[in-house]
Amino acid sequence: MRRARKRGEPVLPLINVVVLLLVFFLIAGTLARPRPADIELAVIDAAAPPALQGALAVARDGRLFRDGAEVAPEALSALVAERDGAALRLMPDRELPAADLLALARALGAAGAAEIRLVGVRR
Amino acid sequence: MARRARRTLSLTPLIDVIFLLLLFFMLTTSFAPELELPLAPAGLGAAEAARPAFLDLGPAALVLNGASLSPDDLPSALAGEGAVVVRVAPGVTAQRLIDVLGPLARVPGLAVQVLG
Repeated sequence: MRRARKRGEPVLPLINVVVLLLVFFLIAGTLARPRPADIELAVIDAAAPPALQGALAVARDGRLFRDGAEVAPEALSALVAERDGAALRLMPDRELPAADLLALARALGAAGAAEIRLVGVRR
Repeated sequence: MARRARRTLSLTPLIDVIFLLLLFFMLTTSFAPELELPLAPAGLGAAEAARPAFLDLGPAALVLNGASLSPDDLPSALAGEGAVVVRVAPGVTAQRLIDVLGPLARVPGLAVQVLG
């Protein structure tokens, strides 16, 4: 009995499991992107598909943020050109007037955005 | 030299590091908490349907072709329609718009256009 205890617990199965978990989280995870603190995202029902990264956050006063940095309205067409036909994602504050959101969407569409998608959080 | 190589590797530091990494990724990972919906503003060259349904969205009211209804009833009311035009009244917030676009996105084959 004593001899068996002195040899210690086998650590390899433990390491196996921990490394598997680590690999899982490495692959499945995305680091939380910074979002302007004063933006409260709108809530979407769970039937919608998951959002991809790179959404443009729209504060309730209409200011635009990308990856936590403010985007000037003049830079929008450059942003659309950079996306090059891919869908553009808008992440509006829930209190943003819908008319402002639609005006922005129209401006992006006029600048050449082929598809515009709204991003919100799961309920 | 040969003696040294035969000694087993010390595993404790390795486990320490792996546990720290595991803890870090468990705490920073988010499982797709964000969802998305399509938004098609009217007048951007998309094909306009011949006879679209007309949905009037106010801050509190929701009127489809003249009849008042709730957002939850939209999928059944619009089943079989090919297109719907949503007119957004002043005072509607982004959350209210999304509350209506969500059910509309669930109707198969429905083209949604939103009038500012």
